[in-house]
Amino acid sequence: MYEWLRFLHVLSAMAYFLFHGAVASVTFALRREPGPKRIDALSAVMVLAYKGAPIAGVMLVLTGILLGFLGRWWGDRWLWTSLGLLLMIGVLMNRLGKAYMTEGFARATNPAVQIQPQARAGISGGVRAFFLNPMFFAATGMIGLAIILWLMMFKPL
Amino acid sequence: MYSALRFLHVFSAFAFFLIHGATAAAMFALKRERDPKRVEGLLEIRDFATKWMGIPLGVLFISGIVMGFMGRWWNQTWIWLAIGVFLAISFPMSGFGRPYHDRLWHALDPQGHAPPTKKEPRRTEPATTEELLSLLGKGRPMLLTAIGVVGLGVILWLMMFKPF
Repeated sequence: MYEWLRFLHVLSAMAYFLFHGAVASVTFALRREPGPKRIDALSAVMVLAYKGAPIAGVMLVLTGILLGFLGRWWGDRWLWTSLGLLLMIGVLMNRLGKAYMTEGFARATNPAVQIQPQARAGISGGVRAFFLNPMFFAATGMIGLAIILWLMMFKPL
Repeated sequence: MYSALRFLHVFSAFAFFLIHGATAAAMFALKRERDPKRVEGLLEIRDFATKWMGIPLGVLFISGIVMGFMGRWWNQTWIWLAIGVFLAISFPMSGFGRPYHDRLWHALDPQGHAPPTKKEPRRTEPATTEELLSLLGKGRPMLLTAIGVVGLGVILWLMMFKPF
């Protein structure tokens, strides 16, 4: 039973990354300042990805919770550390990603937005450009994934 | 050392799926497109993903081969079956997916993109709307997804349970 759940956990993680990859590619495509028609195509890709990602995400979380009970891992620190990290990355990606997407889509559909200054609400343009950047999302996601995977596979704490 | 390689193997598999997701989503979206500019946008997504897909795939392969030696798995049936299934998936994926995209690019931009095979005549003019619609309709994203998902499930099962 435990092995089958582990199998399902890994399979749903792979499915989740497959869907999430589509969103990631759109963030990179936005960097190239696509026109209004191309932005429609990017939206279509996002819609497809958002349809599937939650299903795989729920499967991943559910199998993870069950595995925690079956393996009696809930008393171990590695599980809580990886959960905390997942939550942190999730919140960060969601907040920054949403801001980046909204700005990118607005800029592509309305050229007037392009001449507006980047700085907003006390955050300098440089800091904003650093955090609202697909490379930053990719690096955060990959480093976070590597740490979570290391915690799950090596169970060091 | 073996555990570190296993970690690298799983990590590169996740990275591979992350990048591959872009091409899969683009293929599904292409099926519904009618506008040449939007089709170009989707083809660019696929091109961008394809450019980076080789890196995790290479790491996945190398770590898998080294692990096969370290774990002395090469004389077991499951590893050969897994490689066989992987090849069986790869052929229809690249054999169907790549020419489909190349053909679309060539139809949209005959000067900038060559036809998928040398046998196919080179266009001098971009395709008409009817020709483009006919080409777009030839995509089989559901079939390729089904092949990929079932194949992945079988490979994962073989690797995790090592039944043979």
